[in-house]
Amino acid sequence: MRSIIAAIDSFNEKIGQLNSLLVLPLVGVVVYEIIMRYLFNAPTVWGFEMTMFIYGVHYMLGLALTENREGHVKVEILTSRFSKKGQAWFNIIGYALLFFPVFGMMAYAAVAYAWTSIGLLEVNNTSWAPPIWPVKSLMALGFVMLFLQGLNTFLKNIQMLREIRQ
Amino acid sequence: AKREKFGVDSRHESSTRVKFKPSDEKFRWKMTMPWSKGLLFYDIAVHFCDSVRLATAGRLDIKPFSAGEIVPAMQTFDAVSKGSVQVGHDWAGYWKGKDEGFVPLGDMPFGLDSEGYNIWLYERGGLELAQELYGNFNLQVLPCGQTGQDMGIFSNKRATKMDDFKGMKVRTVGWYMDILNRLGAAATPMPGGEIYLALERGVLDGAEFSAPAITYPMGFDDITKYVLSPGVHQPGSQCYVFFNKDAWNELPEDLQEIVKICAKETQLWSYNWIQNLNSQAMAKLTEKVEIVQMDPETLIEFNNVSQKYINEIKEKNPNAKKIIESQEAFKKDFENWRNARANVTPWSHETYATGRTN
Amino acid sequence: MDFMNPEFLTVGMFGLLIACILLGLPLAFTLAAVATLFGLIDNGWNASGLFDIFANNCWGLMNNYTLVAIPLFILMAQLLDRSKVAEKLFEALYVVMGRVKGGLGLAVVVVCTVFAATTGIIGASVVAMGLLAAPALLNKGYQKELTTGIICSAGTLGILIPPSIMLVVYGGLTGMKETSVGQLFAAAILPGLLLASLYFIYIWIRCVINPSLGPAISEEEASKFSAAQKWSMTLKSLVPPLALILTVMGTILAGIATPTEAAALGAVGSGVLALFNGALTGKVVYESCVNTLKISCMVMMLFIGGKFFSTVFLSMGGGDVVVDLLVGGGLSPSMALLVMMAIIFFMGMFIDWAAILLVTVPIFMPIAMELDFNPLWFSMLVCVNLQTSFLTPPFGYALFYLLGVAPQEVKMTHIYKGIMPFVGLQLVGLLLLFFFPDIITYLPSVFFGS
Ligand code: NA
Ligand code: NA
Repeated sequence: MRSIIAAIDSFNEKIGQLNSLLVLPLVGVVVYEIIMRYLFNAPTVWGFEMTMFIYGVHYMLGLALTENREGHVKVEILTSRFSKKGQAWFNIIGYALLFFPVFGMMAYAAVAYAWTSIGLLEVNNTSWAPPIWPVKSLMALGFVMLFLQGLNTFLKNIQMLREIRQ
Repeated sequence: AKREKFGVDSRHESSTRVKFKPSDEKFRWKMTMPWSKGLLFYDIAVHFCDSVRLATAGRLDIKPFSAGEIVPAMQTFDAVSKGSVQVGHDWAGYWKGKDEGFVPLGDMPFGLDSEGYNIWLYERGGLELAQELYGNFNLQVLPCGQTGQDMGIFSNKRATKMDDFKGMKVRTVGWYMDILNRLGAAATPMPGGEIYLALERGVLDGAEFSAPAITYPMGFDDITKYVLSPGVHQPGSQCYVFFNKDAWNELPEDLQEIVKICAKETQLWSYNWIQNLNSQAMAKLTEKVEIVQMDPETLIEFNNVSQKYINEIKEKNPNAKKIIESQEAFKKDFENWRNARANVTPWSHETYATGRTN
Repeated sequence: MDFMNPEFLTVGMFGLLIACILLGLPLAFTLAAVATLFGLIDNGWNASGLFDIFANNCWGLMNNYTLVAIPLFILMAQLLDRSKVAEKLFEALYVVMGRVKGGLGLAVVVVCTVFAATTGIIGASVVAMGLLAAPALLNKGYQKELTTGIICSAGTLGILIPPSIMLVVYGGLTGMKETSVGQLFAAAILPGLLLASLYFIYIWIRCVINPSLGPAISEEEASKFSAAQKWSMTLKSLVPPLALILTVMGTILAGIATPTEAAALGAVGSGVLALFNGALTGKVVYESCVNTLKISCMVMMLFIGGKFFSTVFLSMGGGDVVVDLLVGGGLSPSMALLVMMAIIFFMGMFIDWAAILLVTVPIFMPIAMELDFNPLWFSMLVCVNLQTSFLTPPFGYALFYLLGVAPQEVKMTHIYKGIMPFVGLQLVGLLLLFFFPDIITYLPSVFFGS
């Protein structure tokens, strides 16, 4: 079990960290658009769309890393008073009942959504009309990564229970 | 030879032979659309739902949801195509990414006006072409709403000649953006939420939106001086209602017929409703902005460049080609009557007397 | 099946949400899970249909240009943090305002008010202040509750003082001339300043009464610097942030950039400041990027969960339930107004402002017209109320943003406790706007002559 946990963590962390650098080209594209429009009176046809693609992929591929680093907001009014063991049980039940069905289906639906788009080799409804099936595929990847990371949170809590018992 | 009556109502014969069993099954459907509640397009979609509920005595109850309530504006098509929502309302040009052929169904630069759409759709096989295209995506389509000609470009720069448009920073989207760029303007597809401030602060020189009554609430007249007319990019916007085909096929025949009639009723009502509101909106708008007309040579230049662009689209997309050529054939055939009936545009007597005949 | 009526579902949905939030799972996941359950009940257990709608909604969020400002403003705050610009400013303000009780807290209110005029979203202000001001205040012995209250409330002014995404969305929704975006912008300036003044006065009074909440510095520490030194310290440390504010605000006002684009210029600007301070190493850039990702993802995950929730809520007919509640009995105009405000306030405790706008504005605006309310006045009451929704527990974005970036020792309970008095101040502000409508209508009449 430890090796599964480590493999998922390392995969999501590596992709997440590399992906975090996307914010730099995001700044670059926006600034380029301002310069082209304001100084050269030549706004691009692609700037706004490119901006949104980068921003969208940026956060989708970071959801799992954020889960790994416990970055998603929780309200710990009740659970902070529990013992370590109690917290672990709460997480195990919570993830089994709430997270798995919902984000398992979400990952599946996002893959199906991307698959339809790939089948059409879908392009955007715009003048620039770039292919959007790759972006939709990355959205699906983001949800798959998030699901795996949630699975990891679940496994880590089981692991913790085991350790407490020993 | 003896002359027969000139026309035939193609529906009449089949309609007398039909034997309906009135259904009493109840349907509760949802409709999604790209319109937020502040737009009159939303009211057109709602009008259709109301008509259907009234005419079916509630047997078919379609609940309308504005943009973002169920799915985001631009996901209307996908959600209905997949069957997650049963009904959608649209302006067809939004689905250009699925097929460029959708653009001429909704209207394009120097495309059909509302009279043209009515004749082309109902009498010249346009509806069948539309159904062919929507049908590729598992959809059943009906024309359902017209808003007529769009206003021109709200602008802080006065522009009537070709040279005036050169380098102008205009916000528009789709084919018109490409065409304006070819004419030397600096068109940008800036997203909707940014337009007002951008126009106010001068990030943009101009922006186009929709018909006067629909545009009025945007308040563009507060922050611009001119409207560069006419709205060559959309002489007559055409909306459609479309159904997931599996859902449509579940409807009993009598309800299907009622839906078809209600769509036509909405088409009639919406045009008249909007046009009457347009004249009221123009009275208010012109308190703040001046309507300036492009001169004829400029219009011809716009038309030439548009036609060239459209011809290139036709080369690339067979569906667009089929639809545009059908519309062009209609325009040509109709010219004899358009010509013969010209020069009695119903201006008031005072205006006509000044020599304004067309 | 009687239990499936919309009233029952609406109440059940909120009830279950509150119960599940207490389980301590990430809030965004909880929102999504509750939305899934009720979505399935509503659509006859058609799971593939429901999740297809969710996928469509996620794609819609990925195409939301206004939200691009979120990672950009967070990156700006991250780089600014590394550049030590804020630390210097707060050190200087500390020395200058140090003898005033609560002085550093008052400085935060002033900085936030200025910052509010540069950004259209609240995430940025709260995140930036959480990173910059929270450690500074806590180091100087400010009470945790007061510190978090100041930052959340003052940081949220960004959504009210123009430019504001909320006002842009509102103007688009009503589709009315009287509430065009320009009018709303003009109308929101004075109410925004009014709230800032209320915070200011409140903090000062509390710290005067109980100096341990926001201690002034000792006489000897204060006397370390001469008056001239204090001034030069302050002026020097003020230059970089003012230059940055000018970069953001100036480019918007000069028509060079849109508010979203100005966020990118702000990020570049703070990078330049870090460079001048010799802090712009590869490691710093990389760490800023990873932190930016983590915080953006926290915010966006909430957007995803919140979107699922509001989609199902509206799709079930929850919006209609609200109307029936309102027009059911024959209420007097001020009672109707009170009920509408109470509904918005209550919804604000649980769902996000955009969902509330989508639900309430199309329903309430016609009622307000019927009751002969001034549309601009009514709209601004709604907007101030919605601004409050960022602050009200349990679901308040400002609170979560702050928790995400504040020093470890700050817990959610501190934030919840700390925000309460400021929510009270919001209500005082609402009352003042109710009794003195001129605060709202004066500037629009000056700008637009209406
Ligand atoms: Na602001
Ligand atoms: Na709240």
